Amino acid sequence: MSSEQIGYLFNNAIFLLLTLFILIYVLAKRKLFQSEKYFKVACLLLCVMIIARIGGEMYNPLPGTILEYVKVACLFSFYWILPTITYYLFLYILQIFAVKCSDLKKFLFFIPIIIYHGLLIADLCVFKLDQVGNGWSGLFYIMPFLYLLCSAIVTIVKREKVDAFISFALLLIFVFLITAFTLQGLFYQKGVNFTSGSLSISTFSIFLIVSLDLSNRDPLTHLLNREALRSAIKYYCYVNNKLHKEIEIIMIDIDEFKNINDSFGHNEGDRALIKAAKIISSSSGEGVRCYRYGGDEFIIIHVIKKRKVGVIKEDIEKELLLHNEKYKDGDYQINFSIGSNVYTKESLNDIEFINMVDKLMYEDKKRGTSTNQSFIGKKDDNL
Amino acid sequence: MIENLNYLFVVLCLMLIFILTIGYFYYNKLMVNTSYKYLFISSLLAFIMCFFPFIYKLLEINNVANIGLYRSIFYGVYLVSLAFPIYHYCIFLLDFLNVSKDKIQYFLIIPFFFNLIYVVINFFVPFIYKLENGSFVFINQILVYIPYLVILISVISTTFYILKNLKFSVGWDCVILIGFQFIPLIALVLIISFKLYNYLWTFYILSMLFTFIFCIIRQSHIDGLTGLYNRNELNEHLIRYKVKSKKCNILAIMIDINDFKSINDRYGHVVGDEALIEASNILKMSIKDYKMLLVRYAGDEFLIMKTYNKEEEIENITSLINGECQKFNKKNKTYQINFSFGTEIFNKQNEFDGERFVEQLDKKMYEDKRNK
Repeated sequence: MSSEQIGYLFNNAIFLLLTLFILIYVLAKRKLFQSEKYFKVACLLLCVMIIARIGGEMYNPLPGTILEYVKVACLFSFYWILPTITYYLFLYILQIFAVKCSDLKKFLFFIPIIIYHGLLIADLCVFKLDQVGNGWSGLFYIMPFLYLLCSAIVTIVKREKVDAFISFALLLIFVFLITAFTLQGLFYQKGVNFTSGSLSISTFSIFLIVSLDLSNRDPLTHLLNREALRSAIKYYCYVNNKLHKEIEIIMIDIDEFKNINDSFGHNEGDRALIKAAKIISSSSGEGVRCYRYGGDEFIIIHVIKKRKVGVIKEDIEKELLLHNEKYKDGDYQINFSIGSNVYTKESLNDIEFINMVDKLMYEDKKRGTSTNQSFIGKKDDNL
Repeated sequence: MIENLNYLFVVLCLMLIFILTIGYFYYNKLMVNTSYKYLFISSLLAFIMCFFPFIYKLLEINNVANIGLYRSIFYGVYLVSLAFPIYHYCIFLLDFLNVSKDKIQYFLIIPFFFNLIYVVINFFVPFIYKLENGSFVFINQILVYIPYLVILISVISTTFYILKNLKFSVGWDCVILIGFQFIPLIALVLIISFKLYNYLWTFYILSMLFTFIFCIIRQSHIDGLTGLYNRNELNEHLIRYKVKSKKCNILAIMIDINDFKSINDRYGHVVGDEALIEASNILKMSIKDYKMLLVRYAGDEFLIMKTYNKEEEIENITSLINGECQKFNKKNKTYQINFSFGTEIFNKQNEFDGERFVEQLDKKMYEDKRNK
């Protein structure tokens, strides 16, 4: 083995480790990643691809031996798998952005790959064995390149469907991938090795950003959940106590939510929650985090900087009025009770805050119906 | 040259991952633990270290006067600065494991001074490498590896503290975390056998990245105040117990501190928090011989879950806890800690429903409280 090949092995070993880490984690947390089947398939294929690549490039066998056939088989499977991974990544991106995709469409998207496979077999038949992976193989990178381009376009067009950071990160990843693939395709014969690396890095980043985000979000309303609040409150305490900044906390609950639930059923109740979450998140503006604390309680926290005290509260009320006018003839109207408090310098305490919210929630539950007046009254006493 | 290009690409990829990871956690305000700042410094230093072998290669190519001198100085600086990222990484892990780092800090800085002295001695009395007619020559191939021993020291010390501090953890947590620590050591062995010095730091960064993600995930399962598991962990265990419940019975004990509210009201929240920490320590100490799950369920409520074998077990556990309580109450005069218990045994015949199970527990505990 030449030193170049050993370097090659080390490069690929790092990426193999990364991919295996994701694969094992995703399989271990089956419950959390139930709906991410495209991602799982992509990961598995990526692992196989990297191993095939290592097998294909590690040694220079004598012509005519069995090892040569092994090498050719490895390289062949590498080229066989490569565009399929990007295809599954593309499907996964469609899933992230909630683009509906029927089985027929999926098949249509798969047709280029079938053509590609035909070309690959033709290449194997027409050319000599040792020429697989040489010569015009740079052209093989066009197919994955197209899928990546499609994914990037989807990301740009549908960017408002997900969190700003996620769409930004996804875009960054795809720009990186496309650049890497272009370079790989152009300088193929010089021995550049960007494929497995860029793919495994991007799957890893997508896994991190999208899937860890799953565990911090409430599945129904897509607002941040209680656990995210628990850790965020520590950060806000730090900002409040050490950096001496004022923080406003707004608590919102839906009036008579139990009545909606009881008289129109749980489905309608869920729909009301989604509507309420939309009103809250759209009117709270950029950089302000909204949390769904429990059943029908929402909490907004922000550091007072551009938006002054009470502005968000007014915005929410305006938005709510607009919404209620729109659905004047509906079965029910959504109304909020909003309580807010400004924490001046060094007055926020995380444990106290969480305990207070918990207590309020508990009393609320005990009472059965959340009559807003007493809730707000209690809140103001405690805050 | 192409080899270097591929290597640079790996470093770039790892950088991208690190930036995205840190960006994500910073953006969502999840970087609570202050120990992550050590990890940040450490990763930054490790990335700088990544470029050392690359620059060294560049120095090899160009034909400049005095290149031998530059290379020897450069090599010396590299050997000395090996210790920096590793030192910060160890401090991060110790900080994360809540080990007081006052004493161990000085112990961990020793390798740096050792390497410094090692290189300085070599400068005057060459025994590793020397300048011969202006070119850079190695004298001893084995002594070059002595400064790399700092990695061995770091792996041993981190493993020791992980084993010592994750004693109460269930499952594979401990093994996985130690496994991540061993990545750079394995890389080191490979590097020495293949003579590829570049890849040590990329592997080190990989190990850091894995540890970081592991810590972040684990942290979301741990209660910040008492260090016990929180409800996240309980929910996962309830899923696990659902599978187990077909084969064996399950015992759960809900524990509540009596009159915690009065402690809180009379002495204030600081003492109240202290009492919670003491209570969790009592529970930890008393059940340390059993293999079971201990969760802080809510404010002052704790939950113990295990597989149920014999009838005496419940009494054993409660008497152990009460014994520890009495020991504590003798020492502490300001406030007393006493527990109420609510026990529930789940039979394997029935369908296991985690939420209802916990609800029933809650009811039984309140009955116990009222009886007192």
